[in-house]
Amino acid sequence: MSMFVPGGVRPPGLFPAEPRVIYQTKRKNLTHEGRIGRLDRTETLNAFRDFSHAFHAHRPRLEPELGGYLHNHGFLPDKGALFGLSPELIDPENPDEHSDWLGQYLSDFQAAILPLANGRYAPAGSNRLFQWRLQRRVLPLAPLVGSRQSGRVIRHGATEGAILSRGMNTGREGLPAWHDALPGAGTGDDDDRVYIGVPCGQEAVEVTRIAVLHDPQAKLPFVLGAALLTGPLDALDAPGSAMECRRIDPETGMAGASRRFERGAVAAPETVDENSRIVPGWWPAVTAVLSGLRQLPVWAVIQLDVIDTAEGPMVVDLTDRLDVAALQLDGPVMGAEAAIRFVKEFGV
Amino acid sequence: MSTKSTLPLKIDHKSYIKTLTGDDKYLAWKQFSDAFWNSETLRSGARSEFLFRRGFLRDKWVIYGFDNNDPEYFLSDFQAAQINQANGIYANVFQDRMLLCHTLAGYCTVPEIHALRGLDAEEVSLTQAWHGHRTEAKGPAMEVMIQPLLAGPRGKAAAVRIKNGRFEGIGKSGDMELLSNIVRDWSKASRVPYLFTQNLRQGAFMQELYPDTQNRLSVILGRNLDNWDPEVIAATMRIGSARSGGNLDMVQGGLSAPVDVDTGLLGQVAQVDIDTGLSFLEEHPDTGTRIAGMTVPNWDEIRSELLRIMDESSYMRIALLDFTILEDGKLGLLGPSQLDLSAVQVHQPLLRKKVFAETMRKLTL
Amino acid sequence: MTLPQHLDPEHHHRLMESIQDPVNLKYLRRFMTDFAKDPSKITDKQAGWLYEQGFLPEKIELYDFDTYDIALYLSDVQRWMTREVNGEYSIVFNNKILFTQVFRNFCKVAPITAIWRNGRIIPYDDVWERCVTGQLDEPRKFVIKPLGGGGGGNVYFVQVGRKSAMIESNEPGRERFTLPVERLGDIFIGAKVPFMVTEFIYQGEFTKRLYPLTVNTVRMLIVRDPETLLPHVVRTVQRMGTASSYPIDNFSLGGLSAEIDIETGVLGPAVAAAGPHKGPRWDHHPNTGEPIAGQVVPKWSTVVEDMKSLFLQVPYISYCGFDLILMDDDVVVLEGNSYSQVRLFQMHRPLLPDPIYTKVLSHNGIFQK
Repeated sequence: MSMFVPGGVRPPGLFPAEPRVIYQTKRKNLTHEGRIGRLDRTETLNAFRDFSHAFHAHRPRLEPELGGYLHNHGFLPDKGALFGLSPELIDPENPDEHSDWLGQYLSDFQAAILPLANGRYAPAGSNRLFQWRLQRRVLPLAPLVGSRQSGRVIRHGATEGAILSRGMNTGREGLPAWHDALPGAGTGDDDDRVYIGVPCGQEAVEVTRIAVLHDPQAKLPFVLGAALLTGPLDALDAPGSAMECRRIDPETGMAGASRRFERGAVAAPETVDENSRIVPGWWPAVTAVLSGLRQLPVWAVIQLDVIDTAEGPMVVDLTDRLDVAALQLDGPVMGAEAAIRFVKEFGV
Repeated sequence: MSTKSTLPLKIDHKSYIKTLTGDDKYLAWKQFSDAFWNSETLRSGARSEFLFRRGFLRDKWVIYGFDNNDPEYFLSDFQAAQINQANGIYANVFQDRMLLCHTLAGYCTVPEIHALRGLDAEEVSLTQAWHGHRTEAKGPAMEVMIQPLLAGPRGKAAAVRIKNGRFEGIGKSGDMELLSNIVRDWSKASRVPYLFTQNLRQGAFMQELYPDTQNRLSVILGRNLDNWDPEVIAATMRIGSARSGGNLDMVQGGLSAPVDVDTGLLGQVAQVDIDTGLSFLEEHPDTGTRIAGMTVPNWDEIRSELLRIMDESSYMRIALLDFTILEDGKLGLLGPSQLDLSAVQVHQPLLRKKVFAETMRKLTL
Repeated sequence: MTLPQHLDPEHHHRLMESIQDPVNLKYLRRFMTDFAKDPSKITDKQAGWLYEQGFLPEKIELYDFDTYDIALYLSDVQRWMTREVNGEYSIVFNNKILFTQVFRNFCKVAPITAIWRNGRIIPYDDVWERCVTGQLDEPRKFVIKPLGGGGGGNVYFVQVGRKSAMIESNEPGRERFTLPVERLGDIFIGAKVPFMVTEFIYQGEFTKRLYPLTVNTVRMLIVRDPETLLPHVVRTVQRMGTASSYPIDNFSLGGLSAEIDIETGVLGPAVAAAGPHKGPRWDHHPNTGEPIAGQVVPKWSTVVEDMKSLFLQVPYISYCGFDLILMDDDVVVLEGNSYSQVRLFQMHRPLLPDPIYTKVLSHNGIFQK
């Protein structure tokens, strides 16, 4: 049976002729400790060093038992309380069972190396200017108004709404809050930036965050997980920012209970609304995203932020760094068959 | 050794070479390619391409008689250069001449190690005699081999005589300081440390084979990877000739006689002439000594000592070693084998030897 | 203590920042994962200070950072990096058969009786056969330990008589058991790695007196000067078993370490890194009351000279912590450790003031000048 591909036929050969395997994995072993133990390349070992520096910079330090457990499975200190992870969950009689269960969570370290699966596009995956230029024909992107590189401002177009100023690199102010703990990090005025036209200002808005992976078997993108975040557009990922978040069931477009949490804080999320509700504009958003990614199948890993406007879905951000916290507040995302196939294929 | 049972083990060299991965293998392939294009024989044509794609150097068409023989039973030159990798992390044990001497000292006579010239380091005296020659210009007369510490393509070997702090050989003579400086230059040029060792004198039997060269008993030791039992896979007597001089390579004129591993009986002597081809003789072509039919003295004892080496060195999977037979009939270690396997394969292709072929196959070499 | 000229106060920081090759990054990973789970009680400030310089939290308790600058100590990251000094030749120590084959040429080693591998015994002489057939003239004692790897785990001491054998080990649940001699091979049931059977070495009077229930070994750290290729003895300690480390003298399991002055052979006070005797410096053995500090190792200068001349003969080795059994008239080299633990040395005083030692380290990229 031939599959209908909205928006056209996938260009042959674009995906993934070049090697993208991060390291040789014993395919049965998908546990976090196995993954960390098998790292053998400078790139990934350095990523672990960055992760570890961020972990060990966290104050106050966690108790060694919990700290050792989280660190050695690749989770930052906030994830213990956020996801309810603890070494006390390990059954001493059957520790493998716990490893397998924990392996279903996307860890912070795993999220940091996941973009390597984007192969030769990996260096550009967190560059907003590149993303905007590449994807503008296939995705309903918010208009790119301008950019600033090396102090020089370039105007790209006009807009009627507010202008959102973002750093050029999503990797920094984007997901991994721990990046800010690294030496030399920071978003000073001299940073390269992009300016995007959006129909909203500083007020809190609902943003649908959709994480998409490539399914190596179907050779198509699939929605790994999604969350409905409520907060100002420019503060969704900032360390210390508080926001409300609902997990979205990709099958139904239903958003679950609303939880409030603070980025990077070692605290359990607080439930503010138990009720589920429909996510407005979910299906148009998913259709637009998947059809766009099918037309330009460059990314093995990508996350998109979509807002619902009167004209339909509008993509306001793109990054290769998945939001470990928001996507998994109500449970892990890496247990799905397609996600396991992805990890086996790319070794991340 | 039954050849029928080994039939399924023959190797499709062409497919094997296509599957190569890893930096080490690519480097090995580059080295093979350099050696291939540098050789003088069979400059072009279909045969040349046939050999290249299967990892054989060009002289092998003649030496292995590929007009008549199936190449898929022969270990290629490319594979031969990698045999030692079968020993994994222990590859150096029998490649480093010093460590080899130390390891085998409990089983056979090994040459005394007089001194080491380290890479970018000073020369260290390891025997009193050497120290005496160097510091006091006195000491006993000695015959000394100077060789790179590691067996392989880099560096060169030479023999010198030393007496009362003076050396003679390599076309020169002088004091120990001069010798030290010469070897330092060799070491710097080839980026390898050098070793000064005793030059073992071959016994009457080896002398009789051809008196003007150090003749070598080359053995390949292996083991059954299922039960770890050791085995002498092949033993070959490599004999010099007027044409070969000290270099016993077959293309240089070296001769090769197979040694029956059960009885120690020597077979016909193989001789290679690239123009006229491969021939088998009963007698030494220069001296007329009848070699086919001779028996290595004390063979049973020698064979059991070889097996003991392998049995007790249970970390090794395969070993290629050169020995001489001393006046007392015992084994004297000459060093790691030079990997000229043509001396072995002219008599029987190695992949017809079951244990050997299984080892190569299991280790995907 | 002021820093010697060859030490920069920031060298630990600079090394930690400079590590880029995968081999050393793996050691860094090991450090980071060990650091995260180290249960030692330290403040957040101490944690940052140790982490940035490559030391595990346990070192706050074990090392005397009040007296000595941290720059004088070899860090945990550096100690793991010493694994690479001997390169491919570390197999000479890691494989005990090869170790025996090589070192028996130059010194006394524990003779191999047999090897157990792939389900079969490879006898090196007729002793094993005489054991299992009840033909020993008198009872004999053997040590059975895994062929590869360091550490003290899974060591069996076997006393074989004519009918039965008594086995003691540090394996939990199998501390002491007996077997009929014909079933001696049952020791290996379930074993996944090869084992080596060697003759038990009886220590001399001096070390026996320190603690008679264990074999008390000397750990001697020797390095090779990369320019002259000559051996240099860096540090030596006498290890002693205690009731908590029994049946071995393992320092990690509660054994003691006392420094031996390389020049004079005089023992200093002993310390423990784990177990009930951790903390104080012991002038007398805590279990037996036997004096330790001030005792002089008999024929010490001969021991040092013999070890130097042994090390001279094996130039492929550049770094080793040798374990020695001092007999009354001789020394047995029990094993060599290619990347010796250093806390049993540095709990007495730091290692880096030794300029030849740091020369070896910087030659191997372990020390930033």
